[in-house]
Amino acid sequence: MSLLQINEPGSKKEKVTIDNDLCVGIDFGTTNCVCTIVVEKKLKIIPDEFGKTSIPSIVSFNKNKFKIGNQIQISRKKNSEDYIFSIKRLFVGTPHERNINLIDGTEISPIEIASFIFKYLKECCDNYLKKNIEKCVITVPAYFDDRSRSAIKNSAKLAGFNVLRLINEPTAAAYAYGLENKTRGTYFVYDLGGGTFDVSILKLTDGVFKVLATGGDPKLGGDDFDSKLAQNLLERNFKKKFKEFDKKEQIMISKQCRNFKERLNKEHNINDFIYIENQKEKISITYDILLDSIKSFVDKTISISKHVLKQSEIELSNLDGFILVGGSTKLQYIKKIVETEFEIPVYSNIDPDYVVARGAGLHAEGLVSGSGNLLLDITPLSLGIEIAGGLMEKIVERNSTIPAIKEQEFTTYEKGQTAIKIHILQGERETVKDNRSLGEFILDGIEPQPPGIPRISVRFVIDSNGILSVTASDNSSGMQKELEVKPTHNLEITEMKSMITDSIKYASDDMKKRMLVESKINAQTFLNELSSVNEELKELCTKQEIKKIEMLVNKLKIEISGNNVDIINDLVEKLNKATQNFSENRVKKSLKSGLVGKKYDKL
Amino acid sequence: MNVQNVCWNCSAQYQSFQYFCNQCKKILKPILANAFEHFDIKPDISIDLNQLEINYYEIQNKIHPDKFVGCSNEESLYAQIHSSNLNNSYQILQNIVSRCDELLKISHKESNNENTISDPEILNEVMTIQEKLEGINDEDRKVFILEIKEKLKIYLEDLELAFKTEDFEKLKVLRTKISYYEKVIKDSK
Repeated sequence: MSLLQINEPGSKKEKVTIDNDLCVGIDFGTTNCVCTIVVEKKLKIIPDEFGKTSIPSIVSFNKNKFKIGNQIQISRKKNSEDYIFSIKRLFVGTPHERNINLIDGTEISPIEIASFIFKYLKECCDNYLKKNIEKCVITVPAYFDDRSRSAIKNSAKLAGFNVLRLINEPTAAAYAYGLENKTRGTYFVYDLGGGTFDVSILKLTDGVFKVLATGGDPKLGGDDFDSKLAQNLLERNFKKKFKEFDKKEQIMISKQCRNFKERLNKEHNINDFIYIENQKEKISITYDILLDSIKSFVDKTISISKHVLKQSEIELSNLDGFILVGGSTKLQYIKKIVETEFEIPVYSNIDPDYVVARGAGLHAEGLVSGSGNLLLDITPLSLGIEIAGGLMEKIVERNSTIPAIKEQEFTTYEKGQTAIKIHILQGERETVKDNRSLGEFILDGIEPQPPGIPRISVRFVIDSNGILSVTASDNSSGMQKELEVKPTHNLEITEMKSMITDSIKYASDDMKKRMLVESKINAQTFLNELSSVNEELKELCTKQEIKKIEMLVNKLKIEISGNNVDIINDLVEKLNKATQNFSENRVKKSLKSGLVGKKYDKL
Repeated sequence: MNVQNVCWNCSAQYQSFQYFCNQCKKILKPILANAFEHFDIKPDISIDLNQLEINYYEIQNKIHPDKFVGCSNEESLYAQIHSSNLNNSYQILQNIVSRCDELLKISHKESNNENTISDPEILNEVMTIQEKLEGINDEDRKVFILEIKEKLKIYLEDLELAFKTEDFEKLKVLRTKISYYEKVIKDSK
C-alpha cells in the first residue's frame, strides 16, 4: 500500500502523485506508428492486438466504421471501403484546410483522422499495460512548423492523451543513441522516413543533449521512392502512366514496388510478377531501375544535409559521426552515398525503424521520473512579423534554443494610426509572400499620434514543445492594453471537441463564417494600407496601373459589405497582383537611400 | 539591488537574482537580471567560453521546464521564463559584440542606434572595404580576408583595453567596427 500524501503548507497545487505515473512514447509516422514505454527501467515496445509492434498509419472507413492499422486487410476486391494513407503528410502546411471527402460524401479533417489513430494507439497501450495510460510524448518531424505541431497535439488530445511533450524525431533518435549506446560528441542525424526528411546536428554531453542546428524537407520520403519506381516500371514495361490509375490501384502498385525496393537491397535482379488491376504480369527489375528512380531524391537529401551543415557553421572535421534514422535509410545505397559524401563514420546499429520511438519512450520516462538528462531543442524556422513594405522582421532567429522569449518594439507607420495588424510569419525569406503565415490579429485602441511615436512591444513566447504564442501591447499610452492571441488556427481544445461532436457540416459552416470574417479584415487592412500610400502610388505607378488599382479598390469596397468570401479573396488577390510592381519599386526606393542609418545585416 | 525580494512560497527574503529559494528550495519567481547575473559571474569583456558552456548546461539541467512536469502551473511557468532567459543570456554572452552591448547597458552607456553606421570614421572604413570587396578576384579576396582577420584581432585587444580603462566612447566605436568585420568574414565563407 502506498502512503497518503499531505501537501506542503502554503502551496496551492502540489506535485501530483507521479510515482505510479506511466508515460508512453509515440512515434507517429507517415507510414507506421510505434509506441514504447519504460517499465521497471526496461524499455518495451508495445504490440497491437495482433502482437505486431509496427502499426501502419492507415485508417479505413466503411459504413461509419473505422478500422486502423493491422486491422485492415487491403483487398483487391471492389468494395466501398475508403483507405486513408499517409495522413501525416496532410499536417504539413494547413491541416485545418485540407479536409478529406469520404466515399459517402462526408468531409473529415486530417486532425480527426489522426485522432482515430491516436485513439487506437491508446487502446493498444491500455490493453498491454492493463492500465489507463494518459500521458505521452509524441515525436514530430524537426521541420514541422507551429501549425503542424499544434494540430498533432490537438489530435492526440482529442484521443484522450495528455501530451507532456512534443520532441523532434531526429532529437529523439539521438537521445536513444546517447542513452542506450552512451554516444558522446557532435553528431549529424540523417532521418529519412516514409514521408519526411529531417536532419539535426546535436552535441551529446553527459547529462545534456543539445540540438545545434536542424533542417529538412517535410515532403520527402520513402513513399516517393516507391511511387517513382512504380512510375518507371509502368512506363518502361507496360507503357502506362501511374497517375492514370485510381487512388486505390496506385496504393496497391506502390505497395508491391516497396517490396521490390526492399528486395533489391539484397538482390541485383528480380524476376517476378506484378498485379496491375487484377492482371498478373511478368516483370524483371534491375538495381539500375531502382537507382534511376531514387537518385534525384537521395541527391536532394545530400544537398539539404550539406546546406544545414554550412548554415550551422560547424566544420565537418568537428563531427564525430553520422547517425542514420528512419526505415528508408535501410537502403544500402543511402549508407554508401553518405559515407562517400561526408567521409565520417556512419552509425545505424539501433534499428532505424524503432530508434525514434525508443528515444520518445526514454524521454517520456525521464519526464515523469525526473531523470538527470536534459534535451535542449531549437526552433527550426525563424519567426517574426510583417512590417511596412511587405517585409518580414525576424524576432526569433532559426536554430534558437527553446524555450524562448523575445521581445521587440515597433511603431506606427502613418499619422493618427489607431490600430496595427500583427501578422505572424515563419520562414527565412525577406518578403512576406515567400514565408508562411501563421495567423494575425489586430491591436487597436492606440492613441492617435504622429508616426513613429507609439511604442508597441511584440513578444514571442515559444514553449519547450516549439509552440508559439504572441502578445502585443501598447506601452506609450498610459493604459496597458494587452491582447494575447494564439495564431488563428490554434483552436482551443474545447472548441475542437464541440466541433467534432457536432455534425461535421456545422463545423464546416463555422469555418466558413470564420473565413469570411478573416477575409473581410484582410481586405479592409489591404484597403487601408493602400490609401495610406496614395501619394507614393501616384509617384511609382504607371497611369494604367493606377487605373486598374482604382477599379479593383472600388469593387472591393462594395463587396466587403457582402458575404461572398470567394469574391473578396479573389479581388484581394487581384489587387495584390496589380500592386506587386508598386511594392517592389517601393522596396527598391527605400534600399537606395544609402548606407547611412542602415542595419549591417541588410548590407 | 536595494529592493528586497521575497520568495512566493516561504516568504524568505533574498537580495540579488537567484533561481531557487535558499530556504524552501523552490524555484523563485523570475526578477529582472542581466546576462551575467543569470550565470552568477562578474561582468567582464573577456570570459571563458568553455566554462560558460559547462555552467549553461548545469543550470539548464536544474531549471528547464522538463524538470517541473507534475509541479504547479506557476512553478512550470517560472521555469519556462527562467529557462528562456538563460538561453537568451547564453546567446548574449557567447558573442563578443552582444556581450559588449550588455556591458554598455549595465553601465547605462548604451547608444540607441546600435547597429547603424553614423560615425563618419566608421562609415569611411566600411565604404572602403565594401569597394574593395566588389570586383575582387577569389585569390585576392582570400588575402584581403586574412588582412581583415588580423585587423579584427587588434580591434578585439583594443576593446579589452577600452573596457578596462572605462573608455565607453571608444568601446562603442570598436564594437561597431568588430560587428562589421565579423559580418564580412562570415559572408566570405
